Amino acid sequence: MSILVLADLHEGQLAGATAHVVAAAQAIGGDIDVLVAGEGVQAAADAAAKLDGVRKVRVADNAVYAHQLAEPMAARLVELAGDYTHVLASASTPGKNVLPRLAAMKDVSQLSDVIGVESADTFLRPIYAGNAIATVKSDDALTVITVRTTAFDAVGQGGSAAVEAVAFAADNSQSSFVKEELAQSDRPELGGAKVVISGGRGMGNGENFKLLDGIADKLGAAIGASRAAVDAGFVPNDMQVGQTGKIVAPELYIAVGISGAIQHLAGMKDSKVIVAINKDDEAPIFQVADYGLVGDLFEILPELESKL
Amino acid sequence: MRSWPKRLPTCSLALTSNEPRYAKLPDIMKAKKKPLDVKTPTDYGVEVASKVTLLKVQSPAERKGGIKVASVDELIDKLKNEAKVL
Ligand SMILES: Cc1cc2nc3c(=O)[nH]c(=O)nc-3n(C[C@H](O)[C@H](O)[C@H](O)COP(=O)(O)OP(=O)(O)OC[C@H]3O[C@@H](n4cnc5c(N)ncnc54)[C@H](O)[C@@H]3O)c2cc1C
Repeated sequence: MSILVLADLHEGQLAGATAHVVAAAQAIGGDIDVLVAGEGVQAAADAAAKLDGVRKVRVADNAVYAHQLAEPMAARLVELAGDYTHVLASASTPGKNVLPRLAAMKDVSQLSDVIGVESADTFLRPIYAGNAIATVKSDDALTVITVRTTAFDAVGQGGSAAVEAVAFAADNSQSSFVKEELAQSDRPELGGAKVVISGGRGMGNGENFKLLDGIADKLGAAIGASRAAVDAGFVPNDMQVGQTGKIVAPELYIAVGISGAIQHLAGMKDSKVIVAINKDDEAPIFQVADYGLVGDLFEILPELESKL
Repeated sequence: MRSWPKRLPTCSLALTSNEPRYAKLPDIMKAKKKPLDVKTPTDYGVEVASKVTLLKVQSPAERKGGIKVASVDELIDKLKNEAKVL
């Protein structure tokens, strides 16, 4: 078995997700290489080389891979894939963008959102928004997998893998990058944060989301939102937690003014401890919350912030 | 949010952008008269068999509901001393 892991980058640095994907690769077993593709990514490559279990890091450092557009990335991967039995990436926006294209080009079926490894060809993955877990077996010559990072504990950083450059090959006449609009924030990444506090429609408007800021500062938390809050324009899309947003599993998840729709639960029910603050004591969120506090968030949030 | 130009042909997926177009009854009747060619994937040399087999489907671990706390103080106390996440 030989496995290629596509590294996740966050502003040019190695994102925490990669250590979880390497853990999934270890569960499969075999030689594990990491591909770091981007522009100015030497530091990210060095960080990847420290991950336990990595045999070598392959670096494709070229402007064509900046922003990890699917077209050049998949073209690069297709060429490397011949050396491997498996290609893995996290089920994050870049992974979900690039790997399906690789799978199509190799004419194989991708396995998405893998949460468990039974053997080198048999995997567990959620279906029906996490309401059932399927065990699937792949007989494709190349197994292309996106990994749900919350399901695998990150590997350590005691490694010292070799780092080698792979020559530039991808042509990209197909697409180019115009702009990316992300919510600017000094807070931790939503997907990797130890604490997440999310607001829902109950927050009333975008301005009120500021009530979460002070608490998030004190807890070192990332701020998330329900789809209703996003659709109402309170906060940007990339803050959405749930089936069609980000999947999170922090140590502590605090849901504020969120009713607990199944599509929201799909994104956070694997959190270790869940707290719900809601004025409706029948809200379904209380069925999954370890600690529920019934009351008006506009009174509870300032009190919580001052007492933390 | 990302924007980028893409060479055609292209295929895209949208979540909540367009109003659906509802066909009118006369148009449905007209459409029925149009020739309909039925093709199979093999006509195009495409093999559609999947190499992925579904072995088993099971329920995920159920999450048990917890307790209701009466105040912010009790919540902080539980998070500190019981759940130990603060
Ligand atoms: C295909 C599909 C995909 C979806 N994907 C997602 C997804 O990824 N993520 C997601 O979140 N949703 C998703 N949804 C939407 C989901 O079904 C719900 O509509 C949404 O999660 C509701 O958001 P909410 O809980 O903020 O709003 P509501 O359901 O309106 O709940 C608001 C809550 O706030 C409480 N509240 C109001 N005022 C106060 C106050 N002053 N103090 C305290 N509590 C208060 C109310 O009691 C209520 O429980 C999806 C839906 C579909 C169909």
